[in-house]
Amino acid sequence: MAPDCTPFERQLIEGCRKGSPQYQEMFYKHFYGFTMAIALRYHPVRQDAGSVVNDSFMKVFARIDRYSFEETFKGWLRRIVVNTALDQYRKHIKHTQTVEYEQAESQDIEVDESVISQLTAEDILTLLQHLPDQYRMVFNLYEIEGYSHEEIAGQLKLSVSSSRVYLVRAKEKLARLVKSYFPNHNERFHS
Amino acid sequence: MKDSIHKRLTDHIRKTVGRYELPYEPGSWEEFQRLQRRRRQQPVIWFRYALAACLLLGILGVPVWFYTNKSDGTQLAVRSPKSGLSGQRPLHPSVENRQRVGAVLPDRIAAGANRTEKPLVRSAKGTSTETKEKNAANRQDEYEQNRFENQNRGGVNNRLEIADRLPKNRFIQPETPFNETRQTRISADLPAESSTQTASFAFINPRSIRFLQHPLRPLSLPLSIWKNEPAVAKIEPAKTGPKPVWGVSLAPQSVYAAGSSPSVAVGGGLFSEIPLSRKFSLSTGLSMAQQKLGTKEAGLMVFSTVPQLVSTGIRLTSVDLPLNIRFRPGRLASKGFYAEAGLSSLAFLNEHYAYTYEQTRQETISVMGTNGQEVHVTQLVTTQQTTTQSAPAFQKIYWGRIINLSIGVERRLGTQFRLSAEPYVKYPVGPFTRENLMLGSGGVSLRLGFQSGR
Repeated sequence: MAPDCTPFERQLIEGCRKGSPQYQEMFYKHFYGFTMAIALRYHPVRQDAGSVVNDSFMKVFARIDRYSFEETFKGWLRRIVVNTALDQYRKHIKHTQTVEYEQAESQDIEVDESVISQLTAEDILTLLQHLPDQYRMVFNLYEIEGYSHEEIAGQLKLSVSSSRVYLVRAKEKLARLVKSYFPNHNERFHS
Repeated sequence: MKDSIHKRLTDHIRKTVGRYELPYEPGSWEEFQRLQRRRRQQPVIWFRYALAACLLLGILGVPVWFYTNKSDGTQLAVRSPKSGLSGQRPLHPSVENRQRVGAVLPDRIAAGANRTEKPLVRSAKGTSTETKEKNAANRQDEYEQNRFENQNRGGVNNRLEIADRLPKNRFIQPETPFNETRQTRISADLPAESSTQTASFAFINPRSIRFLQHPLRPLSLPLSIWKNEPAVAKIEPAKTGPKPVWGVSLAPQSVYAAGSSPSVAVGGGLFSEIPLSRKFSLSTGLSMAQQKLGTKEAGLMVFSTVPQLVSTGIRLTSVDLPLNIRFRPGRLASKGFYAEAGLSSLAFLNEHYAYTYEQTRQETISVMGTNGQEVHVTQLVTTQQTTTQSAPAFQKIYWGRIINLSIGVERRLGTQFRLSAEPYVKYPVGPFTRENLMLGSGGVSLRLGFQSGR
């Protein structure tokens, strides 16, 4: 049994493998929050994220037979969602012009550590929403999913150096965003 | 310091979003199901459209195919030589290469009679057949070349110019009259048995005389009598048997369904008639009609808090695929009468249903009483609510659900067109449509048919 699977989840997976609509519904509702959270990191617009989620579940129901309980189910599911989000991004990027973003400011940004530790998931999603698409993609893939720059370059059709640059700029921009959105920890949490 | 902040921020983000999950949003599963259904239906819908297109192509294509096949069989009746040459026996070279006979070639005459005498002498001396063929071929080549030039240069003016450019002494009056030359040369080139074989070698007396009267005038005769083919008679396929008819139809009709009042509609489409025998033919086609119906529910409850279905408005766009046998009774056939019977298959491009529900409820209102005081009165208020539903196009094909019966009369319009009026009844064998209606219709089908080749 997969290490992260509860007996209930295993039951859901087995039910989906049999093609039972009831189990599919339960599966969908059970994993909806997990997949939506991943999708929102890549596509902050709710509608786009919903589309990624639904497409991901389509793939999951179609390929659930291929899942072997050797790896964690959530890892398998996460990979599907991320790949679907990348597909959507690639589809979207075809119709949008790539713009060269502004150079990062060279000055150091000082952010209170307590501010960082108090950032909630919603705050982080809001911050990510303010990142340019390419920065957000590279940041998510590198820092959260653990992809290498070579892999990211391959996935996003970038050069490896661009991927590195985008990551640095994404981090700097995030820090600036944290600073500008939450300038004073005390004001925010104790007022 | 900078890296430290970035590291801390990144670590925090990774840790926080890694555990983050959103609550389930109601309606998401239903949305997912809709998407799933739409994606599943997509290939099916395309398949249905493709099937419908194939059917249409088949219906219209079969008569064309029939017709084409018959046209291919157009026979060319070659008049056999009078000499009795027939069958597998190879034709004489002069018959095979009809244009080789150069007796009336204008340029040959213009080039001088001396050149034309040689083969005559040779043939008189009994030159072998091969030599004669070679000579004939050479003459043919020359003739073809000159004729091509003349034709390319165009009309009479061009030809006159050409004549002017020619050396004046080039034209030499033939020693023998043209008729004789021609006759002699034909006889020289042809053996005796085939000299009068075909009509192609008929003399052209009037023109040749005119030509001799105006020797400097270039021969502008098209010589169309020298046909590229032997005398042929085209056998018209129309004379060999009946041909398919296809055309358009318009059908004002009355539509009815069990529990509904009849309504008027108009349909139209394409049809084709494929002859099977002298009396029978296969009639098929594709017609469309937009039909509107209204059904009313019986036994309404007078007072009910629950909404009751009171009526249904139905709007259908039907596609009818009939397959009928047409019978032309012996005596009446000459007057154009016929009878038809068969089955129809149906599909719907659009099925639209509007359900009207009625709900009666009690309402208390205040009215002024006779004594001038306000009185509360309870009254029944009836409200209606309409909901609509539609079925997707070609959701189902109902094979052979309708019996077609009709009689008709047909009149010819000219040689190729036929106009027919056909009163008909379409009686449902079983229920169809999404609401399982027993839907029938009756009307008059007006048809304008086209039969090519007559």
